[in-house]
Amino acid sequence: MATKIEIIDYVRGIVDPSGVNPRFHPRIVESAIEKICNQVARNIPEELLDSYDFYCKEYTNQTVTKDTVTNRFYTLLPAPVIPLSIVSESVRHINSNQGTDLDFVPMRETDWEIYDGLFSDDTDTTIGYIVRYNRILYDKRMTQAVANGKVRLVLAVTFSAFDDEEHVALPGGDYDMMNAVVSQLLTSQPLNLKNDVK
Amino acid sequence: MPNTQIYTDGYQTLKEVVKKALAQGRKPRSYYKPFFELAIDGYREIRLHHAQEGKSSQKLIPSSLDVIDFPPDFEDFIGAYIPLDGQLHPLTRKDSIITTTSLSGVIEVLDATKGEGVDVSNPIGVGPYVKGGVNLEGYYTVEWDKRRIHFRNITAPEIILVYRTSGTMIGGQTFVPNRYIPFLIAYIIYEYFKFDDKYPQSRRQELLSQYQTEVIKLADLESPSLEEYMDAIRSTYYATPRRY
Repeated sequence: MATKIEIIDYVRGIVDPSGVNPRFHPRIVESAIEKICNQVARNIPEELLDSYDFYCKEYTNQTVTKDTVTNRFYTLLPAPVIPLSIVSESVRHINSNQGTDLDFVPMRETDWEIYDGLFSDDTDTTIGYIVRYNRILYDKRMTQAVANGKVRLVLAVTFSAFDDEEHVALPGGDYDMMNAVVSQLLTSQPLNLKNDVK
Repeated sequence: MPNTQIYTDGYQTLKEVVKKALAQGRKPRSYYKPFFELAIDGYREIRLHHAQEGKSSQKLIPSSLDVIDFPPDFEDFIGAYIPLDGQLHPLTRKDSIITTTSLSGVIEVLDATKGEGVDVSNPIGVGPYVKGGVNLEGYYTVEWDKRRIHFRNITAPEIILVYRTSGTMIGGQTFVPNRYIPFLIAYIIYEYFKFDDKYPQSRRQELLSQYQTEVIKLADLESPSLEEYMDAIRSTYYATPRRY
């Protein structure tokens, strides 16, 4: 497994050995890798989502806050996530910092409405959550006591969420991934620097 | 030597059953909520149709209207009884009992002139060779819309109401006997997919047959014991003169 910067350098080494072409600026290469990674992750069928855990990143001690307007608990996402085939599954796991003693399950907001008032709503204590924009929203079973303990998150984060020196595993296989990234980069239009100024 | 082995619990929580269904059905956790709702339905289904478990009894005193309201955990009616010689003596359902009531101001009362609360007549012939018999201990009829039971001709001060409960606890863990778990898992997975047109019909048919297998297995577990069969057979025996 290579670091993020090594992966970017590797791609640049293929598409721009001279390292001077602005078409292949590290940010552009990073962005291309991210888009391919997102697409690969997005295509994982729902029954295989568990296998994506390997590519995820863990964040401990995340604060759970109560929104005074909606009266709902939430956690701000510490990094952007990839919307997987079931969007809430992008937050792969939530639990206490050191254990698996709490029960959190991903849901859809529609489920909150459908199951509101049904028996499962009255009898179950499992905390449901949805992911919206930049935050994780918890259902009414989230308590202040659980919130006080802070939570550990395992997130399907985007490529750009990794630090340069972090080791990154690419979903979909390195060879296929690199081919896809290089193909995408090479289809971009070259700049005609020579005739750019009239 | 005492047996010091420790076995697993005979029960699991409904939540654990749902987790097992997710694992067995290879489904992501986002199916948890619908599966949990189906687990509740499945457990009720077992108690309503497939198992002895689920029977609750309560001693209740009929109100001044000669009615008993359904208890809050009531799911379905099994029977109304009075105690007799240490056993439940069943009352008889009679749907011709008048279930209307009258109002005295805002208070619900029985008006005997309209047949309300009047004991039903049970003409019993007296004399040798007269045919027929009636339940002398009482009659009832269930008024489902108002969730109550009307009684007439009751001889005992208290009624023992036997009814079905769902088994699912509000505000506490619901424990499910292990023997029901395979049934519940088959039920949850089949019920979830049976109306899903995207799921192949052959697969749905397979799930149905797995569910039916579990129903049969439960029926085996719940079948009468050898002693009950023997009692039934012995009850047909006649006393004979003892021969020396």
